[in-house]
Amino acid sequence: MVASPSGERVVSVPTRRGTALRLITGNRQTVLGLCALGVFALIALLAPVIAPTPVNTGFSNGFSAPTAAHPLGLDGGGFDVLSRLVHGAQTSLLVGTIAALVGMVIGGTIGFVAGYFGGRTDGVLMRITDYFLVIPDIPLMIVAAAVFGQSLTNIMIVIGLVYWASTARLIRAQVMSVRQRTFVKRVEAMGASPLFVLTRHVVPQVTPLLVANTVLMVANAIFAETYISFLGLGDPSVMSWGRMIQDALDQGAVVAGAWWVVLPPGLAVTLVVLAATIAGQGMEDTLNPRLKVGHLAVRRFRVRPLHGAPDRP
Amino acid sequence: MTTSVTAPLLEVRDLGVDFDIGRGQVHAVRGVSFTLHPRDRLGIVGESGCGKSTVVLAVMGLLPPNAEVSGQVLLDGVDILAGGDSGMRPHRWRDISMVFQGAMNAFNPVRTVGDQIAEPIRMHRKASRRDADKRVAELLDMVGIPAVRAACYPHEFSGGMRQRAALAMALACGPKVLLADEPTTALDVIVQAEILQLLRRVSDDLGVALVFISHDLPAVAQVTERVAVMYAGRVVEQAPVSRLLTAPRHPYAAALLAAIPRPGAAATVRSIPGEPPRLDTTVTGCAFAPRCASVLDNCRITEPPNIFDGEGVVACHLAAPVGLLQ
Amino acid sequence: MTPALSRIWFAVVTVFVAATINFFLFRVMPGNAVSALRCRACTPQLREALLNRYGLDAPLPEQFLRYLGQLARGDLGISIASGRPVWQEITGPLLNTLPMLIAGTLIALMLGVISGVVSSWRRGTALDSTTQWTSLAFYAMPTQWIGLLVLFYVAAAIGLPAAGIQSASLGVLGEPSLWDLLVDRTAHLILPALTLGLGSYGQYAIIMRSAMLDTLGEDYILTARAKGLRDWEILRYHAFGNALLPMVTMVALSAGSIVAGAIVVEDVFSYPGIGFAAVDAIGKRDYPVLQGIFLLLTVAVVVANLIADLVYVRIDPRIRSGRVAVG
Repeated sequence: MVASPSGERVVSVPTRRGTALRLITGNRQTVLGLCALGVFALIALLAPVIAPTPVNTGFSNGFSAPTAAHPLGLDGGGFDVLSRLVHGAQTSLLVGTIAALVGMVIGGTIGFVAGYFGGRTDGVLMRITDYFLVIPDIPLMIVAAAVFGQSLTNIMIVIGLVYWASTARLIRAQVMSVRQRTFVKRVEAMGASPLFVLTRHVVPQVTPLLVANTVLMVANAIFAETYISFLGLGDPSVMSWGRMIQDALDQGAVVAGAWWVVLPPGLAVTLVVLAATIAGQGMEDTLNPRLKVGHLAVRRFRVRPLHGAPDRP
Repeated sequence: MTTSVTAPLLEVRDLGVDFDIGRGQVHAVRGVSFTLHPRDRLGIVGESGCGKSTVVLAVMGLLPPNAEVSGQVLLDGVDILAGGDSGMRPHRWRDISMVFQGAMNAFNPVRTVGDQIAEPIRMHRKASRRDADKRVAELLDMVGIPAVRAACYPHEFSGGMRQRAALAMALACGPKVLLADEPTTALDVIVQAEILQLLRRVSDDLGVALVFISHDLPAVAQVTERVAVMYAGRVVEQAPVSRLLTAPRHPYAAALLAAIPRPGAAATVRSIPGEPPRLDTTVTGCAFAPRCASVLDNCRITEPPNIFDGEGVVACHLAAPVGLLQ
Repeated sequence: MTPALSRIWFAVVTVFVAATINFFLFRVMPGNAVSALRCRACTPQLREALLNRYGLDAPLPEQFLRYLGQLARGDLGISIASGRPVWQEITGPLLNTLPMLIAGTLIALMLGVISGVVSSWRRGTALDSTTQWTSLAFYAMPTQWIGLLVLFYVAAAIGLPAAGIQSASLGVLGEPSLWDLLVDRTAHLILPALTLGLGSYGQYAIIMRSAMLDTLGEDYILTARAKGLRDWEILRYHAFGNALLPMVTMVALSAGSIVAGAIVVEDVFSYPGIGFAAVDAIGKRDYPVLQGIFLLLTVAVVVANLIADLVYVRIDPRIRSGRVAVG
């Protein structure tokens, strides 16, 4: 366990077979979180099949309490809440995953390049990263989403484009630390080609961390999507949980006492975000049990080295 | 050695400490006993992990929650362990105080040194700020630190100074007993000598009974009058310094002595072969038997009893014929 | 360049970057910029004026320089919806938001500190787990949903106003006193601030807990116990202060997320602050206002970070004195 030059914590991943398996199964939290996510993913995939009714079919003029035919009742527009919820799962999970992947690709690449090449490249790239870390994320997404129109693809790209910065920092620190480790220097001194060092040493040390980070990013992305669609910037042609929350507000569900409209979408988001968060945290714990402080680094406080902040061991 | 006509100040009787580590127990300390009279200076010596630090932490009631302490610690005749944490608290620092291992980190980095030395004074003696500050100045002076440095932060002190400041802090409430756990480790030789001298002086001038814990036998010998040697959680020999250095009766104590490199002596450094036993298993017979050069068959079967002679205690079967059995 | 100065320079450049993003976003919108001013309510004259003002027919570099010049003068453009200068549109709402934002942050800090201290002091117990899971749960909940829940379950029960910033009944029977105004305004900001606090405290709780655990493991805590201090005395005089240091950084770093929370909270509670103005602008596609708000929020977050940086350096004695050990 070493501290990177800029003070972030990095992990030492024992490179052996089965690291991937250990990452997934090594921690109770991870298993729990991943299983829960799996359940949601399944629901999302099977949405058209398991939704009791088509999404856009109205059944009444207004709120209607849960019945056997409509287990979660009808919302203010007369639509079946359960169907909307199930279809919304598709959107949220899809957006969350793809946006996280976008962020991972961008952040991972930039972090990698910065960490590997060091010097001026590193300086410039990290400067840019720092700007993105400070600029408030959701407001930026709002502006970008407002400009680029309301398509699902655009939303995914926008979220990924805003969230890449913390991943970049994390990966850069890890890459730098790996390269500076004695055994890598020894291998390089023995004349190993950069490609060899890369694939045999750097990549295996960096990948598990990247995976854990991406899982956490999925939580963020789903959260962000909820915000964006709540504010009316989402894709109007698809159902999403954020939109359902907005509808609950607009349709006066609170005044009408329609708890079956208010509770489900928020609960769903909470559960999915919780699942992804504990899965990601569990993975980070597996990689290094002492990394517990940095968990929320991805989401709300994005790790940025503070001038003069003392290095905590 | 001080003749014990006066009542003992601190009596540790059959102290035992077991740590519950989930998958079993670690027997860190077994049957440790010693007595301190006012102005006594006792040393506790042993290698890392022999339990010496655990003993002093137990005496002050500072062990973590998973520790089970047995035995008695009598301060002026009163068992201070019996009352739990709240029973112990009034005695802390006022009667018994401690200088910790690595006193470098004993200070809170964000508060001034003077503040932290004054803290127990203000708390235990309800002293006013001014009185406390005066006392702090006195204490710092005693340990050789300019009083103006009280307003400094710990990181502004060198290692040696921090050690001395820790000593000043330990003496703040005028304790009767001072436990010094490895006070000179991690300091360079010259600073070490200064600290040792300081400890002697403090004990003489203030009449404080001193317990000096260290792995460094020569250092201990410079300060103390009596030494207890610990091995695997037990006191294997307790004797006046002079006797221990010239005629140790326990094989381990003898081996320790032989391992001390002496200038001009034979070139080879004789270390003790083997390793100390793991403390999470129960030991049959003498814990030192696997490494003992003079081991008997009986040593592996029966645990040696404490054999008292006029001046000290030895826990070894070999000592039986010479001394009185008790 | 001294560290402080370099920090300030960084802050300035960050705002510059945000402004540049604003500029290019506006210019690269799908369709050309002219049609992007799709204000159906615009009169032809207003459209003409807007085109002129933004110089959308000039080459890009020239536009950029004009834009920067305008910004330097504090000119954030003109609202498409109302025709008034943007900064005029957002000053009022900004003043409304500030008290609510500060109150919400304080609530979040309080909850976070309490949660962190409790769970670290009673580490490993059921209380620790419960506290941690609770803060994790609130952290995972979308703030707007918390707002709905508060509206649903709390508002009516407590009898606090759930919308707007001022009661309609105030001022009906003559000019309201300053006190009445103050009380009324405060009543209106309680629920939004509470929601904001609940949604944001999770991150503080986790940082406080780990900072406390770090601190409690230090040697000087053992020394404090040896000195005979009681539990609460140790917490108060030794652990707490040290654990709070990372919190200072936290507050700054979380400014962005608190701001995001404030936006949706104002939407849910119809609280006429800057978030509400943003939502309004979204609905009307009033881009200048939206971008003006974004820039303002960026400046706020950047300033918060800067202050935290500078404050941290001052309050940690190890950094402040910077002197090497003498003696």
